[in-house]
Amino acid sequence: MTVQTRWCIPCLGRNRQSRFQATLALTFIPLLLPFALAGALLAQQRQPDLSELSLEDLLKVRIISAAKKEQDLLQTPAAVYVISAEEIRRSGVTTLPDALRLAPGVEVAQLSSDTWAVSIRGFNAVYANKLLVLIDGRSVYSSVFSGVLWNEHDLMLDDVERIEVIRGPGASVWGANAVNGVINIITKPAHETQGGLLTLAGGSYDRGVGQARYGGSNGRNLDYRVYGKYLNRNSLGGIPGRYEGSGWDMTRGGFRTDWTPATHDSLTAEGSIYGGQTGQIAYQIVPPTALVGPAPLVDSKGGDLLLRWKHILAGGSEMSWQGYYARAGRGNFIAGQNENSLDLDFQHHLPLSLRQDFIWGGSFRTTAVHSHTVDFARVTIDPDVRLQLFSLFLQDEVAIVPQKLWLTAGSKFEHNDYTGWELQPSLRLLWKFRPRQALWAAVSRAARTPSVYETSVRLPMPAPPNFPFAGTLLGNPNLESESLLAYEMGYRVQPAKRIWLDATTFYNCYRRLVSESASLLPLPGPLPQLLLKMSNEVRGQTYGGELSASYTVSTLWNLQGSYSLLGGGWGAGPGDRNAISTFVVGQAPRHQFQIRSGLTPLTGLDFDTNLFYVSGWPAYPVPSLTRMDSRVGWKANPHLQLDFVVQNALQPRHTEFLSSVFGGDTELVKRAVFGKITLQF
Amino acid sequence: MARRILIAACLLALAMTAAAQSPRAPEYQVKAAFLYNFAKFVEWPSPAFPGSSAPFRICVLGRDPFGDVLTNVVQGKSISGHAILSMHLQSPAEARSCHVLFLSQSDPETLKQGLDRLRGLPILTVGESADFLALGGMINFVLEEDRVRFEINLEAAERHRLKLSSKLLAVARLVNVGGGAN
Repeated sequence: MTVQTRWCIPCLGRNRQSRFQATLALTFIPLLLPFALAGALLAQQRQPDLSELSLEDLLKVRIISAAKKEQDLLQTPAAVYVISAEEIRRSGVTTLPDALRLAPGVEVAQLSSDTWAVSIRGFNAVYANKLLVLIDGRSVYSSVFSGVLWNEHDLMLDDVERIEVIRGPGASVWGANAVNGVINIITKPAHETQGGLLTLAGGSYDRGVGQARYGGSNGRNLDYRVYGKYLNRNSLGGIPGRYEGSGWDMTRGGFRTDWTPATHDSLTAEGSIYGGQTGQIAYQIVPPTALVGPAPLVDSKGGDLLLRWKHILAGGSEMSWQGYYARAGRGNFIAGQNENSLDLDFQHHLPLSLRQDFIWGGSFRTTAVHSHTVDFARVTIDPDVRLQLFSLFLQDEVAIVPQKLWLTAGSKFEHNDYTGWELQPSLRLLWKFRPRQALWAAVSRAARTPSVYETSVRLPMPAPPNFPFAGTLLGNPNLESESLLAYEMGYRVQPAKRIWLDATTFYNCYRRLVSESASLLPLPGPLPQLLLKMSNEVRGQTYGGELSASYTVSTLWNLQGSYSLLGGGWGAGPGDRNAISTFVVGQAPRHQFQIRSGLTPLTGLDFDTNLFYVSGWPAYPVPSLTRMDSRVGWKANPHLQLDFVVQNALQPRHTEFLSSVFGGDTELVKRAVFGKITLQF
Repeated sequence: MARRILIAACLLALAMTAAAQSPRAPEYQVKAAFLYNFAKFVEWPSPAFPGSSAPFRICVLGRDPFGDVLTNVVQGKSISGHAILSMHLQSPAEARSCHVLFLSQSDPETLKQGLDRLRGLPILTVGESADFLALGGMINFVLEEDRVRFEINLEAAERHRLKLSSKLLAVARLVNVGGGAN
């Protein structure tokens, strides 16, 4: 399991030293900030009266749209893929993790009917801890166990406008835990979901999914929608002799309101509540190990409320304030937890001149976590934790050569209760050397902060099969952040109007990965006791790249494909030769390949086929997999749409993931067939 | 580290010495100014005004993305002696007395219904949807590289007895709905 590697040469900064340096930097920032503000205010010149301008002059005015437009991909110095609403619809997927398979380089593996391991550029696990996920600007990454519980976010996919998938660090803007990637799920503004929508789906696996939505408006500047969703899913069948498996049952309701009282101001309010049963307790009490075992169903319930106000100042700068409250509770009679977070965020976007675009912002988040376990489970975790996070970020984009060469420099300065200040800078360069061709390169640092679980857990583990020790896993309150120094490069080209190519490559250098330092304890008992204490003794490096292409053959036929490669190694650092990395290094397949075809042979008739290939996993005995999903859709009239979908058409069942070397098998993913009726009125 | 602080300081310094602003404005402020400008370069047939003191109406149908901007733009202004009035409408039936009608972004079906109700009336229809001209609209806003441009369906305007000045046509992209751009 432990692979020895040569250490990456240019990893910067030593632990203690860098923390001191960060503190130093932080004392300078407040001194510098007033100057930046002064600059910002100077830029707020009086707006000329546009109605006095001639037609010709009006044509020259550059606009700032309240709804921030998608940045031209050719001008983005990062590895980004945007999954559109159309792609989600045509893929026939019913869950967010399955939708993420559409983006190049995203590793998605299903473990049970409601559990997925999702990561980017490696380190995949049920609680993949280096991927930050946001829904409309609200983080759904849990600070309790460093990961995302996908079964708590079964959004109404028809309301998703796009999913922005950023491969590589996004920490200089998004902050800690945006280490290997960021996933931004963005829902449609309320004016795009007007009228009524009713969908009913059912099949061999999804027993029943019903969705209802109604959108209305005041006919002028306020739009809203309300929706409800019910989902009931079969178990995948469990693991014969060990675990009978469990289904997924979830009810969700929510709303979104967008109000534009004036052209300078836009307000959004959105919220949701959910409740249901999931089958995950074993994963929840021991996240990184993710042992599968017979466990009682978990009751999940929670909700969120978010308010956002965007205001455009004279002079064209944009300010945005956002606040949200989110609550998530999950548990059964053995164990459970409640998380409550309040987050406030401020951002100011200043287009300083034609050549400079400056953004700065700050945020504050407080999270209270209450956890409980019954005595016989023998697991303990800090029962009451209150965490505070505050941060500041700056980013400046300078056009060194107008329309050709841009430099983006920025950093996040973030303080958390476990490791203090984290400095997460990034430097990006983009060279658009031809009108439809661009090269970019980036160097960035990102940190993954310790979780409540990693700092406080005490977990006795029974001796797993074929393993001669019983063990105890111990959290460590003195854990440091895991750190990444990433080097990336990319090339984009549109050689013809209908062809689009995107290539990226990266080299990631990780330090202080959380690992377990093992020592044997001569304790009384039938078996020797292995004490596994969490520490930061593992280093690693990964490399690879992604290649994606899209080709619009005709207005009736669209083809897309991608390939991604991932390699790397890790091992104990010089400090502790006993460190083992079995738990830390969730892996990922070396090769992934996909090809997707979307055909519209007749008006209203879609025929879509997606083929995915995933190679075997280097460390776990997960074989390679070829998966095919197909959909036939027919829009009978403007009000009625019928869909028929086959997932995993090629084989009756297959393995996508192994939970851990100790935990053994996971459930097999089955072929699924379902139909869907959509009514619009 | 000291170097990083230096870089940050330099960035801030750069930010402060920002060059003079290029004109920038919110999208609908620009569009409102265009609506007023269009009024100056279009000639309405005389029955469009019931009397010399009748106001010139710029109307917005459906979603109103302007807020108070349009009202502020036209306040105190007049077009050949007619004071300009801006108003918001809930249905196309109310549009009869309008001179300029802005139809905000909407689905083709709603737009078509709205435009069909105005058939034959001397109303300059302005939109911002991809199909707007094909559906019978006269002027359509398009966004190009952060700037607002507009395209004109001259045939539709003439059918409604509106005369568009050559100055307007010179800066617009003319679209022949029957066959692509000229």
